[in-house]
Amino acid sequence: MHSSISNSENVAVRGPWGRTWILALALTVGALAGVESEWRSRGFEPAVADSARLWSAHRRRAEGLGLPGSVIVGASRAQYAIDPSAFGDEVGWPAPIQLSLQGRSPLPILTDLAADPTFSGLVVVDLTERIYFDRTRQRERRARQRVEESRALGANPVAFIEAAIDAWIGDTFVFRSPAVAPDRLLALTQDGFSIEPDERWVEADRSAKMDFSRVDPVRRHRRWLDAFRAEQAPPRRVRDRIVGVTSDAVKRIRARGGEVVFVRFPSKGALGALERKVFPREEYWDVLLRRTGAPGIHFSDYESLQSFETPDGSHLDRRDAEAFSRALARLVREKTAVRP
Amino acid sequence: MVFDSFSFLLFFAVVVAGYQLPLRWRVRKGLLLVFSYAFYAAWNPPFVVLIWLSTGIDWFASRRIAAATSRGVKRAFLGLSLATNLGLLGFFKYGGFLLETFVEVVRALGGDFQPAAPDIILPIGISFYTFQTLSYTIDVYRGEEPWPSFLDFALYVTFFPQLVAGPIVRSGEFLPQTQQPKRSTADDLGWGASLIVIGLFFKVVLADAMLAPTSDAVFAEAEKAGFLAAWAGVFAFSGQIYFDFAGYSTIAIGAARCLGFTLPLNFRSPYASIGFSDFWRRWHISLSSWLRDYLYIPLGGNRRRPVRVSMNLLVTMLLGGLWHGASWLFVLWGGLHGLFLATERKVRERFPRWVEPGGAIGRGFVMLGTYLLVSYAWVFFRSDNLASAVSLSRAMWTGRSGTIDLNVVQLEFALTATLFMLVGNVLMRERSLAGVTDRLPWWGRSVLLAVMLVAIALSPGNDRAFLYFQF
Repeated sequence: MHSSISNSENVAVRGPWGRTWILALALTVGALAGVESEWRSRGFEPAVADSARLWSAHRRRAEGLGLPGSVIVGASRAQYAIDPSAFGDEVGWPAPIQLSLQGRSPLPILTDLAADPTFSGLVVVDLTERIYFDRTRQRERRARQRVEESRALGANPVAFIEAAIDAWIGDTFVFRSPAVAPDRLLALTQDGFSIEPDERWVEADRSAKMDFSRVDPVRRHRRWLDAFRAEQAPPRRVRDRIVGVTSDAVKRIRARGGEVVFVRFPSKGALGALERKVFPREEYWDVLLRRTGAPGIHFSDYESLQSFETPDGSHLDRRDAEAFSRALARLVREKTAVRP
Repeated sequence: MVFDSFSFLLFFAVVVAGYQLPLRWRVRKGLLLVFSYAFYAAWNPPFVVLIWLSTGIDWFASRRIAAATSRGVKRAFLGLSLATNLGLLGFFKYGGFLLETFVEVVRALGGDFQPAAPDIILPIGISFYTFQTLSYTIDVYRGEEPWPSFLDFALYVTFFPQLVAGPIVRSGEFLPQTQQPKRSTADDLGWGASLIVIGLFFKVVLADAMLAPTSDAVFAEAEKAGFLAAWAGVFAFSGQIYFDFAGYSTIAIGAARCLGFTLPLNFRSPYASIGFSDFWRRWHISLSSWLRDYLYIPLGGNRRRPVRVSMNLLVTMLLGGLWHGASWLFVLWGGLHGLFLATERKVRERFPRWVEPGGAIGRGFVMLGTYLLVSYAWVFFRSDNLASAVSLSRAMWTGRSGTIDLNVVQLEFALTATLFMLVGNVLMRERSLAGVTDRLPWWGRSVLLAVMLVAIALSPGNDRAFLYFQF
């Protein structure tokens, strides 16, 4: 082995590095302290980034989980509506593990849990039809991607250290909050909005909070409507495929002593009406429950859930999450006969 | 344990501290080896066995090759090394792909074959360390002396800064560095840490925060993209993959520098290339030089008839494409680059001034053309499937209008980062980072480091893995 690296481009640059680094670190700490203090003075609070690592850490908690341990899989409605502590506290179960992913189908998560031989707990599935029966399969693909990322991270013995450090930083420093991410701030400025604390955030248990006092719910409702109008119901074969895959997953979980319960979270106003029209209950909700044989809780069937408002047509306000979670937990216990 | 994680920061601090202990050089090299295995095991502990296997077989085969007197025996042991390394790669990386292709062929012939899903996990970095050990054995087969120390050889294969995503270091570049006892000097630590910060800035700020959102949005809905959105997405990906991979390589070089080791440069302002052969001398240099020395030249290189030379280029680039992953899209990407190189060669023969114009305007024009075509080729590299790649190609070359709704702020970020990259590449084309840094006053370095550190801290963490980890 005679040759060695001959280029002179890759040699150490001479110092003085001691004072260079001392000044660099002092400037960095000073700048970050200034940014932190500025955001705090404007009312911003620390918030966790809902990252793949955080999701993966929670998914690992579901390994080996049995009844009355429970997992929530769904999209944004389930993440905003359920306060895990209140849900568990109401029925005396451990707080459920929140695995919902905003804008993504819960189906790949459900099948992942079904394929996990160590899992025999309760799965609460958010059945928002336009997400669950997504004709483009984009939402399914994106959720599957998260499952795959999690598997890759799951084999990593130091992943839990990463998740713990991330959670600590998210809980401690405002400057790491997604609410002050540069793209959000720039978008707010360009759209003519003042920079104020975000109306939604995620906590370390992955529950999400929506504060409608900080946002115009009518405008938000209109935005959901516009987005939804562009969508169509899937062809019947797509629906049947999804129902088939779901049914298989339910069977596998039940075969191990676990349980699955489907929940239709509230949607109201013009959005709710449009959802009922595009996805008629008898063609989707009823068909899925019939073919899977799993219990279901449709908000419109229960007075205790009907009373909750969805200011943007789709999501609950953070102030309602605790009461809603308690009402839902009582119904889940009744429907599933799961006992602590 | 990825470079842009806090656990790596802690790990690296422990390694650097341990490396400074007043122990014999041999013991400290052993310590580095143990740390390197721990680094790899942090992904998936059982896969360390594969590195041991590759290390052991190549050590054994190379010694046998050197000791053998007959050509047949030499060939047999070279065959053992090739079969082991390429066998590992084939099984873990291409097993599922070959099975899938077989099923498709059976289906196309009207049959129905439903094999069980192979469910093979790809050991991280396997493409890098198998190529590294192979190059050592081939060098010995070609007449180089085998290295006398197994510890040094094991460290060469496993040295953690370059273990999982390169640079693919040649034995001649690394092993001689293990002879003299090393200590991290203040310059090593200061410059090495600066390179780590620059690499993190490339990865976290430019690749992940500024470029990836636009690239992801366009490639996720390729069929909805119109002319402008398609080009925006493709340019964003060109920048993303550059900053991602060059970022990783810079961190690797910086981490090695902190320990007193020198790793070869892997990127040299590739988007300021004048022509495709220039591009491949500047992009992923350690892979392209590996392919040149161990594939293109043995095939005959450019010493054959013109048709054969073109075929050699094409075969080298097709296999180079396949090295990146088990997908026909990578093969297409490699094939496209093979075609670019073969065409450039023809043009150079007949119209040399077209490829290497004398004036600045002409050079700028060829540079821009190279960048556009290299960016276009990324379509096949990044697309999820052939249909998406074809759809995006149509949008780019037919001026189709689209319905994709891109986030304006993200688009502005992508544009800014792309301009930063192009201007930076042009300015740095004939310069080195070390040379430019050397001329900066110490406080200027401090300010730049602080700006990058603050930008890294303020960028939202989104856990994007380094793109080259999947290869």
